[in-house]
Amino acid sequence: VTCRCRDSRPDGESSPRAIAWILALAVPLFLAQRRPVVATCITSLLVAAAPHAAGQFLASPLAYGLPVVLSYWCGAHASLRPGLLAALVLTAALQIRAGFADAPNLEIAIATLPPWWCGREVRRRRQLVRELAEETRTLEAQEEAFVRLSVERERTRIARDLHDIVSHHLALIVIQAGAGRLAEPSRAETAFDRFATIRSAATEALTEADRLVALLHPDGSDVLRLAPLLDRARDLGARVSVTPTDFHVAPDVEAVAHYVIREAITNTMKHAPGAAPDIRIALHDRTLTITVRNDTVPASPLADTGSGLGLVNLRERLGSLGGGLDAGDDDNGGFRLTAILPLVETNARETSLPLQRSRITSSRGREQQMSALPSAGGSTGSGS
Amino acid sequence: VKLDHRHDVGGVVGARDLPARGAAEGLGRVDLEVEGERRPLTAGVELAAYRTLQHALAATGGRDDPATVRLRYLPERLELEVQGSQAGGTIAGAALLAARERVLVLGGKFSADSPSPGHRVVRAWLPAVPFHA
Repeated sequence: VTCRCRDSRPDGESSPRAIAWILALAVPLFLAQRRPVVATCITSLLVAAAPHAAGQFLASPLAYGLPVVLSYWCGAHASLRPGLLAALVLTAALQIRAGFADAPNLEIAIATLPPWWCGREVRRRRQLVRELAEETRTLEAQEEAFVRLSVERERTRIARDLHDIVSHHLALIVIQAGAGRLAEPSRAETAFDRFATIRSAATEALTEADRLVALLHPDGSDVLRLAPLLDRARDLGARVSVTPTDFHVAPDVEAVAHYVIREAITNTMKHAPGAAPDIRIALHDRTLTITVRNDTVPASPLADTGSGLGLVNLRERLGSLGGGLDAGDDDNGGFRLTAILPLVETNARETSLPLQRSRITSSRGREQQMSALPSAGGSTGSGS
Repeated sequence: VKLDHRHDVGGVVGARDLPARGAAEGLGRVDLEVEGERRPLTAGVELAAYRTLQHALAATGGRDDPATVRLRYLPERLELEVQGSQAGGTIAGAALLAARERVLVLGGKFSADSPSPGHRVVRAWLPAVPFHA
């Protein structure tokens, strides 16, 4: 603005009034980007009513920028009709200012209409980009909904299938047990086979029931996940160590590991209340080793309440995955339990949608979810 | 393949019926190949394998092109492979997602690729550790 003032000075006609007017001309520019039509109309008014002294400034090359910028903004930041109208009003005002000797003055029209048209095109382009982005977002949301829906539908079917399997095994157990009751007591071989059948049916049913619980739990398979359990154990005062600090195991293995630790904590609380258990989980050489030890506390009121089946069940569950259990008094007068679980594939890193996660981490509250959404229509890739 | 989830709880053993079922339901031919020694698996794995095959076939449908199903029994896992023409549309997409979910719930791995245009290969494996008595 000051530059413009100086520019008008060499003509020697600058007066305080003209300077004030030129300054006033700059004011609508601040408004121009948000309200281009209003700014242009104010400018038009100022131009048409300008004192004669300021006319010199309007004739200077610097002043040509004013209508160009305003017209461009009218095209780019206003809708079609008000924008065009404002640009025309500005054109008329400039024409009035210039006088009607050589009307229509093409230079004036060139300073307003092409910029307006450019702005208009830019505006349309921006709108197109916005619409495309919006459309992309909608499509993405639709695809996500599709994935979610497909997965949820399949989950319902899986739950139904698992339920069928569990029922089938339970029916088998009932029938075998019923037959055993009626069988001749002397035939030990038959009884052995029968119990073997019952045992494997029960183990399978347990495994599938675990999967079912994990599947149906509203916030995913958290019920059978290790990290929350370890957090709870820490809250109870247990010392927990996990090496390496972060690794992945298959859901089956994690469910059984969860079972082992849960049982061990329960045992400690029952047999040695107040003794903080020491929980160690180590993954080494494709084998998951869980060690829980605690100091014994004499005479616990709950010590005799168990059925004695806890360790037997643990052994069964571990056996179902090819693992084993070792439990007993340790050298320091405490109780020690070691469970070993072989891993078929340690890098079962790939997990399902948020409901099914299988990642162990020792740090609390860390983001544990990993999911790779497959594209619905094309190839569903997940390199192995 | 129209999937009927109420019936045909057949397990991998039921996969033997897939060729006949495919023909009956207008899918076209399904060839079945089995590698390794067939052994009984837990009911959960058997059924999951069967369902995975069903879904994979729904995504590799094609009336005129035969689809190939390969089962490979390995010591600690069961591998499945389905090759065929690439069915498009939402049904195929949903079928692939469903197959993937089946496999992942059991802690297996799943992948679906298109090695050449119009051709689809679905591969998966399920953990099948022999039961230790």
